Amino acid sequence: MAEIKCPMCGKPNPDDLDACQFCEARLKPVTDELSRSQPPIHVGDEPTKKDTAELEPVLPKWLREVRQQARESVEEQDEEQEQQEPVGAGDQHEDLLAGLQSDIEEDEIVPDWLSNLHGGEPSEIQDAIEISEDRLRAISGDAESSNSDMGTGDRLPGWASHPDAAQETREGGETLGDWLAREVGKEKAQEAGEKAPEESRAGFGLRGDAETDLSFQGESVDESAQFEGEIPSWLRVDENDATSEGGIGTKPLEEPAYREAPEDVQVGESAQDEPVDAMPDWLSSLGEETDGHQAGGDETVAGNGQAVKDDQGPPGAESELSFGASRPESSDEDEIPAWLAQMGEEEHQDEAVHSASEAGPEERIPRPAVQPEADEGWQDLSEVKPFALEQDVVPNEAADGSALLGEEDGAGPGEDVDALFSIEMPDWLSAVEQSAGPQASPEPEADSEVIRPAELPSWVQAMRPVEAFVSGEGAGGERSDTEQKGPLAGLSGVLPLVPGVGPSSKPKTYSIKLQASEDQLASAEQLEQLLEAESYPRPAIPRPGLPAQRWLRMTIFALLLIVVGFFLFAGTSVMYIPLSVTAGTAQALNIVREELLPDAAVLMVFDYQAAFAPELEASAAPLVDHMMLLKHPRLTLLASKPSATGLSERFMHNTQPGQSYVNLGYLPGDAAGALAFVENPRSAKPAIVDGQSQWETPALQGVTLVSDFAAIFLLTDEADTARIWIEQLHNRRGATRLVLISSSQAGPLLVPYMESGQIDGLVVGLEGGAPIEKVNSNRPGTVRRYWDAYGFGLIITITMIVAGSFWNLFSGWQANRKKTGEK
Amino acid sequence: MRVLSIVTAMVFGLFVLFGYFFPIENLQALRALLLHWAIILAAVAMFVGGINLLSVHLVKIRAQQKNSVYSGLLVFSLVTALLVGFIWPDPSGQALRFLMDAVIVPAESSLLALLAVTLIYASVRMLRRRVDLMTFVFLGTVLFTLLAAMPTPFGKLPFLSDLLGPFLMGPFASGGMRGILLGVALGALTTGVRVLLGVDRPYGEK
Amino acid sequence: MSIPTEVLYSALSTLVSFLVTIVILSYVIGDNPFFQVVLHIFIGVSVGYVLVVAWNQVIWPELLHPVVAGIALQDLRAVWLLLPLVGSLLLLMRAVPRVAILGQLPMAYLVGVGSAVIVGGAVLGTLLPQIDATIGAFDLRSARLHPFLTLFSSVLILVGVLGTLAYFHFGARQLEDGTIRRNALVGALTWIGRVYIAVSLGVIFAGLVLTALTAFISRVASFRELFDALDAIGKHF
Repeated sequence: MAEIKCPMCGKPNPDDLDACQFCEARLKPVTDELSRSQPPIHVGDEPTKKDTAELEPVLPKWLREVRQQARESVEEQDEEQEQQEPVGAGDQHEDLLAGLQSDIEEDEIVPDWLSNLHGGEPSEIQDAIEISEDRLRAISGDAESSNSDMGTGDRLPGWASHPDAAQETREGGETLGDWLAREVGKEKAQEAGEKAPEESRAGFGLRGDAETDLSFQGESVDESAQFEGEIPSWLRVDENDATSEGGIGTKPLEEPAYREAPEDVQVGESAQDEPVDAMPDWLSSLGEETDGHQAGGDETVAGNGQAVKDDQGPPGAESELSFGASRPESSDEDEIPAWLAQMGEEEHQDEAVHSASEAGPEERIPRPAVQPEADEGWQDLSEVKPFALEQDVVPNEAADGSALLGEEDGAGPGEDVDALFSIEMPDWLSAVEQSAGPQASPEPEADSEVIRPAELPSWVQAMRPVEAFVSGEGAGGERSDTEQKGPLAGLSGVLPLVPGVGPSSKPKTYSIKLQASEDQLASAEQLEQLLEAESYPRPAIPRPGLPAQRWLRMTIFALLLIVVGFFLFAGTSVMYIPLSVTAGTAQALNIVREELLPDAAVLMVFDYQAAFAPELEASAAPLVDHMMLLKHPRLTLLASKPSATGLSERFMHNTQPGQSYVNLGYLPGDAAGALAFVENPRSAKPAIVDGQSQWETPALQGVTLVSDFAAIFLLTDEADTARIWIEQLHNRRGATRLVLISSSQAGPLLVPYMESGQIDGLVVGLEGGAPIEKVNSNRPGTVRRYWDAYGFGLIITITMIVAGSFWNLFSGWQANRKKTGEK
Repeated sequence: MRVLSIVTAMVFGLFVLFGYFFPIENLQALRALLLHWAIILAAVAMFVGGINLLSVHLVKIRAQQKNSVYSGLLVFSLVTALLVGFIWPDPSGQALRFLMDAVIVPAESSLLALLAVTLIYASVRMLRRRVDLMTFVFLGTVLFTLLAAMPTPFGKLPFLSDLLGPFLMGPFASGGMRGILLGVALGALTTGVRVLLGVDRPYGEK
Repeated sequence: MSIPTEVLYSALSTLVSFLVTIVILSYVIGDNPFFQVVLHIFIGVSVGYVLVVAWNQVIWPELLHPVVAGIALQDLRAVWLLLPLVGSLLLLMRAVPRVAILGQLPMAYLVGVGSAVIVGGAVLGTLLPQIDATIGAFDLRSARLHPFLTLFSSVLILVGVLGTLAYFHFGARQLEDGTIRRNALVGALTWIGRVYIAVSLGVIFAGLVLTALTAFISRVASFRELFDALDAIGKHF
């Protein structure tokens, strides 16, 4: 079986385990199956419905965690792991929101919480729309004209250069509709065109027919504010930020990068100004992170990574903090991954996208997909912190736009353009550029001139973060998420995971809460606490006293002990030992008394375990003693179980002290050993002691085959092992007599062999040994010693079974009667 | 390795099986050699089991897992038994006999003694859990068999020991036992043939 | 005052045996640390004992010593033992996860040979003889009892055998209406087989009770053996 090394403790585990058997850490990514089952989405693909409503409930949790992790990351900036945690969270964040959105699209039901969000952030949603619109313009329609704008880092695209663009879109939902009808129509002209007017108001309608949104969309932001108390804190915070910053709230709606540069710059600042509580958790945490950055310098605005570097270390470390998994080491270009280095170059070149798309992702993970760049782009995107995205919107946009164009230029129109588009959606590229910018070497900017208008794919499809993230995850497997159980609980970035998918243990409950009416929302917090309490183990309260069953067992034990102990210690001889014997016992006795010749070679096979030693010693001792007294046979011992070697010695020591015998020892191999011995005993068991074969001793002289033994006594406690010997000896033992001395439990199953003539004698248990011992002048006396205790023990046993059975029968009947009466 | 394992099992297995039906002298000699190898390997396999047990408990001790003290005791007693056995290898000697008489036999037979309590308890509770014809047949058989085996101060119980007991143990039980034995043999035959044909590979292959 | 070694050994052995018994029987009250301690010691000693036996009685005398001696004496017979020696080494590799796959080969050998022996034994040692015995029971010439009783007994056994086998037969026929039913005769035999199996298992269960009771008695008897051993020691003072 294959093994998996636990990422936590490093110990090997069977690959079928999900959690480490040593430390209970998760061995397989939760998303493993998901990423495999969901192939990457390529630009232009037909949208597929995806129900991500289950992800909703996770939001509050991870947001809190992100916040916490961000704090930790600020405190422990030199630890790479913790720097990655916010990245995973950021991914989760985007992913989750995308999931929410797609949920709305598919179900056409807008939960209250979503309406609230919508109402609270209409402008933000529209920001995203507007951004997209602008972007689309830049890419397609306006591509020719915006080529130069986007080509340089300083020059922002037209949409990005208007700080008020977001405000405009807030107010003018109609614009969006127009835009949709115009742009999306290229791919899904009819559908998008029809829905556009409505969706333009809804914001969310970008991707679906959120009819219900419309009603809420009509409400003002002020109206939405009245639900603030009912909205989860993270939504409220979002709203605040959105109002003040004009667009932060849209980040979760998967288009955070496409925002205006001034706003993005302000985001970082506002994160410090605003009280943490007033922000979404993830934002606030990021804000703290920003604080950390700013403490080191004032470069937060310009480059998140750089700022931190100023404070504590080389610039590379700073950029790591902000980009987590990307971890560009900007100090030394040689150490920078190719894709990152190129990104850095892009920062300084307006058309840096060209190099980024060419060399970056592809080099890292070559993929045979039609649009490998798109997948890689998403994968890298998944590693980017949300905060980084926001901070670098301006350069991002510039870079993204140019990247798109540059890619188109390099790879040609069509699918490659789509792939580029998907790459540039997140602004991690620009974020990297920001951090790596100072060290990045300039690149030729010639590509920017080759930019041609892109033929727009169904970018809406391509921008769906959830699916894209999933696909990217499957390809790269570099994602991380927070561990939920085991010693890793609370740690992020330990194992690859698609953000937002893993911690969905209570989706239904959250969903119910969030979709509930206003009244129910009021108690959401309490419900959440209740649910959380459910997941915590409660200390078991020990029951007072012992359960009835244990009392019953103890009573049985005590009764047996008293009865058996009394007769054993008293040494009475009350019970009569009858001389009537079973046919098997009679035949065994007859063999010993009549058939065996004096001084005959007799083999005793010990085939029982130590637990049965008392019974088998008591049962076999009289017959063996009788044989030894009458015939003085040459005894040879053989053990077919390892511990039976010692048991054979024990048997002889206890019952036949002073007798000479040959102990061949242990014969391994079960059936194979038995067959080998039966066919060629000397070869199977050479039994060499001190250089001398036991077969050369007087006891075994003349014995070369198993049939040379006059009799074989098999002492067994198991019908199965006895069966092996009976089967192998069948037709091979010639005239050799086979006598079985078995425990009471194996005896019944051996009776058919007795009837078929495959064995010549059968002594079963104390009952079989008792008459032989009596015949043998009560030698060695073990059965006699046990006999009274055995008899009275049986009496008390039968009594208990009968009484208990009747009692249980009666009580059961009474209980049934009571039930029937109740019915 | 996979193919080699299957081929090994099939070839040597079929070779040994043919030895049952074709008693050719040279074939039998080679078969005896193969069986002796199997005996040796079976003994070594026990060593592998022992090593595995030891390693598992050593890991527990090293990791200081819960109840690792017990693992320590187990390892200690195992090593002690090994030392005793290597120093005084004679099984009839007092050293190894002491291990058998003082620890192994008392421990195992005490566990079996506990089974007596459990079995009686199960019998008592049987009619509480299930009341149907087969339960009565089963419980009745148990009681009659025990009664037939029960010694009394005046010998065996007359009717039960002389008539009912032999009847139960005779044709009735014998018929059922024989049926069970045949069923077991058929099962063993089927399983063995599946192994010999490579359908089942219980030696590490899936 | 000199106490014979055998008496001392007996006293010590009985004392330890008594303690082990008491602690294990205490399980009837409930699991407890003493029980766990004794249980783990017992397992360790048992495994150690088994390993010692395997080494002292098989591996060394039948494998390693002949090989060493054969090499030393240039005895060609030792060559035959090189193969099981290699197999043993491969088998030991099962304990090492990285190379455990190499242990498949000797395991396959063991399983193949064992299966062949079981198949041969089952056919020649159980199936044929038991079928023969079931049929032969109707041979009234060799009957020890009254022919009628012998015939009756043989019929009972035959019905029991067929019924038990029918009980483990799960074949059924699908009727036209889609329902799956057993043949009526097989169904009747199955019911009879259930009765036979219930009786057989009842007898086996009773046998197990008797075995366990004997073990119980032997353990209680060990208490007395302790007194006897102490008494034997006391006689030497």
